[in-house]
Amino acid sequence: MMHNGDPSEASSDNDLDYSSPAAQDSLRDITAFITEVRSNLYRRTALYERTLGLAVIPVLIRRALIRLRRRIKRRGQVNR
Amino acid sequence: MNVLQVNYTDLDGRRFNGYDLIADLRPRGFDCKQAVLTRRSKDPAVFSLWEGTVDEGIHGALDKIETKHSMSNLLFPWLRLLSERPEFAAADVVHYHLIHNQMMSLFDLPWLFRMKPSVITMHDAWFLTGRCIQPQGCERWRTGCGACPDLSTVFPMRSDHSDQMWRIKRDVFADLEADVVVASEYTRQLVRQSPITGHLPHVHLVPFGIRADSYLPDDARATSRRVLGIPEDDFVILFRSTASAYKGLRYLIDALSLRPPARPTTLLAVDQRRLLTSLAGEYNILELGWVEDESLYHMMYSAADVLVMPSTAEGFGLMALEAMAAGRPVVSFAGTAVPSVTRAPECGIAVPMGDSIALREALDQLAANRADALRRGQLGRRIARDEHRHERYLDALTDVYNSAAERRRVS
Repeated sequence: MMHNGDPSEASSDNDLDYSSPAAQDSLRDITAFITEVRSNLYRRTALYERTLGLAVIPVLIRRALIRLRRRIKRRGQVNR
Repeated sequence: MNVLQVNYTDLDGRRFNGYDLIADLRPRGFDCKQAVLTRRSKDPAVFSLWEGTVDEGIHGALDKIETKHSMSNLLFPWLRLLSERPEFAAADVVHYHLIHNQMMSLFDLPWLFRMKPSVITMHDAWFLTGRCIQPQGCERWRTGCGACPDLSTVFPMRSDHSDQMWRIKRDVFADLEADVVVASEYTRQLVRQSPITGHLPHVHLVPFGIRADSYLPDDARATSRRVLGIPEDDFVILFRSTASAYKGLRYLIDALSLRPPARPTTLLAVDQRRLLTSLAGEYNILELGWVEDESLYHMMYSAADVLVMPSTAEGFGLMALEAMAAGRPVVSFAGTAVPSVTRAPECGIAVPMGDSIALREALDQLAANRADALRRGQLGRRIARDEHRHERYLDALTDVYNSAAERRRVS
């Protein structure tokens, strides 16, 4: 948003004052929080790839085969 | 000594962002590594703090939040990740360069700087203002910013929170233990006069160095022009052609459009093409694009009669120093670092900021008086060789590293 330099227009969208001591205290810890979330995310992704990902593959294949078999069966009934 | 260079990327601006220091300081016994976000080189000494696409996703989300709330460099966690890296643990000194390009949270700086002796190069004035990277005549950075006269320049803000950012910087720098490096007297004065950084005791003026001997001698001028296809008797004006507002191309175009040139003139433009179409009738235009080839780079300076740098903001002006090393005079605007680097008015020529008429007069003066242009060029070459030798730059930088490490060791 542009303004004409009038100080009264400064910080017109002042819903958030992040320079107050309390806000600064909160923001000070935010990167620690984000890095923690990030490393958790990476840990879970790695865990999924190592375990759950592999375990889920046979189930998905089995489901796909059942669906394929049903579709073929249905087509066979229609043709008859 | 192990030195960790930190910058948002490696190859862009490699001459001053720490990347070239990896090779330059090796013969002196300094083992440098570089931490970046975006790694473009294959150099094993460079590593990225991003591990994968998850990080890029996090970065994009944080960028949106910062943009929405008109804040800048308060949320990005990447610099914090340094503390987990073995390169950081092994470093005797950490040298921070352009880290305010969405790489950090300001709040992490005191914490990181306490862990290791830290040097920070102020390439621009971002740390001294509430938003912009150069005040460009605005004086509000001296008193707390707010009521910013132009929120659209780098780094733009939707709402004016420049006063808040200014206060946060003041609070962060209040207890920051750092050696500050600046490349020009102009920037040193800004740092000293700033209420945010004025109290810092260790501010070092380390002008960038240059390998002046690699620039072509005066007698190569005719050959360079022949190779580039420039008529030998033309007056050749070299400049950077870019849409970036800070580089002031529009002032040069205005100046050149004022009247037809008194003698045949070639405009030798480097960087972006097709920005000079309005001048095509009166001038011979040669656009080189972005020049990476070193021999072409030196040839372009050799073929020129003058370098024009109409920047409205410049923390140093490496192209000016390169033109001086090549023996070419430099015309610039007052109010940036370029006049002090080019020693205007004895060597360079500085005209009032934004004054296209004065800019044109300075160019006409050099076109008409070749003896004056030569004298200025020779003086510039002497200054570049005597005071901006690359070895001298490395000496000064290693002195800063040694003193920062020694002070920390003693304390």
